Amino acid sequence: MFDLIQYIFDGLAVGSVYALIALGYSMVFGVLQLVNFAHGELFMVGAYFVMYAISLGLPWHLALVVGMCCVGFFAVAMERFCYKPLRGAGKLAPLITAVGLSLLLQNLVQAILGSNPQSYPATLPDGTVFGFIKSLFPPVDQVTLPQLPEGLFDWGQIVVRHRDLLIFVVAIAVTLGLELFLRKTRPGQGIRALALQPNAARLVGVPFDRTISLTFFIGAALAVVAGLLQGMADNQVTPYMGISSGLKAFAAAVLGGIGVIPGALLGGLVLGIAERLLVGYDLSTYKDGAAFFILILVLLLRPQGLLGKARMVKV
Amino acid sequence: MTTQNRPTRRVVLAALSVGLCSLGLGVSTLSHAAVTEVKVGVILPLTGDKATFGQESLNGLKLALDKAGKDSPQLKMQVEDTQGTPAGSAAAVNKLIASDKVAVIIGEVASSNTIAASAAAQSAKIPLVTHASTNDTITMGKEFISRICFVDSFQGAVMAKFAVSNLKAKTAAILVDSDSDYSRGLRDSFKQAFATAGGSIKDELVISYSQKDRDFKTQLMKIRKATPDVVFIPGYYTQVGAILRQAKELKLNTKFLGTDGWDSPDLFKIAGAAAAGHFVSSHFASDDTDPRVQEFVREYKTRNKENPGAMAALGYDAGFFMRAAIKKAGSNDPKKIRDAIASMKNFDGITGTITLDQNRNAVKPAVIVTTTEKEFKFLTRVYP
Repeated sequence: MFDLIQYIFDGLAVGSVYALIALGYSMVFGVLQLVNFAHGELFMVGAYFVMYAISLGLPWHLALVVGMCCVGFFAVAMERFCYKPLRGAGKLAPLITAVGLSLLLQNLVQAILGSNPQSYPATLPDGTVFGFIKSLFPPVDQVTLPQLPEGLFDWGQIVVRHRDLLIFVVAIAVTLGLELFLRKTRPGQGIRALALQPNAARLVGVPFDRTISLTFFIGAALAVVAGLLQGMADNQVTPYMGISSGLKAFAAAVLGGIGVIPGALLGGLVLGIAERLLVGYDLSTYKDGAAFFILILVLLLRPQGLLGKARMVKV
Repeated sequence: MTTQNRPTRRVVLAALSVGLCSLGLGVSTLSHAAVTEVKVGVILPLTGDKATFGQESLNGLKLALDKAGKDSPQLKMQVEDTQGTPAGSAAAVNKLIASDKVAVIIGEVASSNTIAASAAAQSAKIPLVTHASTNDTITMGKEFISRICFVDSFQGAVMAKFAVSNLKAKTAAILVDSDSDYSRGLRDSFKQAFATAGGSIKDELVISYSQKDRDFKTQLMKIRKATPDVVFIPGYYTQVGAILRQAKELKLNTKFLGTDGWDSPDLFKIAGAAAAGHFVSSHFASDDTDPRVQEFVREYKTRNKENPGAMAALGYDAGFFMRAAIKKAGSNDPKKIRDAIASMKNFDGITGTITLDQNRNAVKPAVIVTTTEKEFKFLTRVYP
C-alpha cells in the first residue's frame, strides 16, 4: 500500500515535466490543428540553452528568461518560415514539415555541440562563433551553480524529494497561469477565439498571424521551463532528450484532450504515474510501451480525450 | 563533423584503396613472405550515450599505430561510427566488409553491439577482435570472433569476492540495465559468486532499469528500505552517474560496486560529489606505478590533454596486438589472420599479459579501483 502511494508521488514529478511540454503541443493544435512534432526539440534546445547560459555565469532566473525569449522567438520564426507558407496546403504538408524540422534540429545540435551528454558546468565547443560568445563573458572558474532544493520529506515508508514537489508545483502554477492568461487577457482570448472558430475570430478583428506567433512563443517558452527543470534534476542534457519526452508529452496532450489546457496537465500526470507504477513493479522494460497502450485504451473509450469536449468537425 | 567529412573522405579512401590494391598485387608477386599493408576496419561508438568509450578507444588505437611508425606491416584503419547501437554496429560491419573489403575488424565496446557486429563478421568469415566487450556469449561458437579483454564470468566473480572478503558484505542488491547483454551477464555471474562466497541476495533486490530512464528514485527507494551491505551496478556510466547522484539525494549510504562500464571521465561529471567512495573493476588504472603504464599515460596525455581510461588502454593494446597477429600471419588473408589471432600467447600489453584460451578469450588480470570525486584510484590487481 505504501509502495503504491510512493509510486504515485514519484509519478507526479515525472508527469509534471511531460505536462509542461504537453501544454505547447496542446495550444498549437488548438489554434492550427497542427501536431508540431518539432516541439520536443524546442524542449531540448531550451535545456541546452539554459545549461550553457548558467555555466557561462548567468544567474538561473536571467538564463531562464533569456532562454524563454530566444527559444520563443526561434519557434515564432520556425512557424513563419516553415509552417505559414504551407497554410493553404492541407494538413499533411505541415505535419511532414514538423517531423522534418524535428530531425533537423536533433542532428544540428548533435553536429554543433556533439552527441555526448552535457552536464553542469557545460563548456561550449571551440570555434569562431562560440569563441566570440565565450569572450563576452568573464572567465568563470568557480561558478556557483544553481541547484534544485536537495532536501527530503522523509515519512518513514514514503519519501518525497523537495525538488519533485517543486517541479510539481511549478507545473500546476504554470497551467493555472496559462489558463488565466487565456481567459482574462485580450491576447489570450484571441487565442481561444481562434481555436474556437478561426474565420469568425478574424471577422471580429483578432489579428491572425500575430496570435499564432504568440501561441508558438508561449508553447516554446513553457518547454524551456521544462528543459531547465529536467536539466537541473538530471544534470544531463542530450540531443536525443526531446524524442522520448516529446513523444510522451504528445501522448499526454492527446490523452488529456488535445487543445484543452488542464487536459495536458492531467494527461502528463496520468502517464507519469503509470510509468512509475510499471517501474515499481519491476516491469520497466514495458514502461515506454505502456504510455501508448493507455493512450489507445482511452481513445477507444473517449476519442476526445479525458477532458476534451466532443466536437463536430466539419468535413 | 563526421557527416560533413564523410563524402570527401570516402572518395579519398576509395582512391587510396584502389591504389593500395594495385600496390598490394605488385608486392605479392615480388615476395610471398612479408605483407606490407592490411586494411583494418574499426567499429566504435563515437557518438551517442557511450561516446567517451569510442573516442578513448580510438585515441588509444591511433597512438599505438602512430608509435609503430613506418614499420611493416602497416595497418590502415577504416573507422566507422556505430552510434552505440546494435543496428548501427551490424551496419558498420557490413559496410566495412562489403565496400571497404577489410581483412580484419577491431571493435565495438558494448557487448550488445558486439554481438550484433560479430554475427555479421562471422557469417562473412572476417575475423573480429573486440578490445572491450566482456559478455561471455560473444565468442561462443563463433570461431572468427576473439577478444583481448577478460570475460564477465570472471569480472562478476572478482567483484563478488571483493565484496565478501574485503568489504565484509553479507547482503547485496543488484541494479540491472535490462537493455544490455553485458549487464544481464554480470548480474548472473555476480549473483552466483556472491552466493558461493557466503553472501545472499534476495530476488526482490535484483532490480532492473532501462537505458532510457532518467529518474531512478523508484528503484533506489527499494534499496533504501532493504539496506543491503553493498549495491552492485553492472551498467554504463551515463545511467550509473545519474543513479549515484540520485542515491546521494535520497541519503542512501550503502557502498556501490561497479564494473568497467563505469570507466569514463563523464561518470564524475554527471555524478559530481556522489561519485566518491565506490569500488569498480576495470582493465587498467592510470595511476598504476608500472613504468610501462606510466609511459603510456604520459604519451597519451601529451596528445589528448586528459588521463587515459580503460578504453584508451585497451584500444592501445588492440593496436599492437593486431599488428603482432598480422605479422605472425604474414598475409592479407582473413583466415590466416584469424588463425594467428587465435594462437596468440603471452602478448605483453599494458592491460596485462594476454593469452587467448581455446575459446579465444583473453585470460588476464582485472584491476580494482576506488573512486574519489574526480577520478579512479588504483587499489589492487586480481589474477584469474
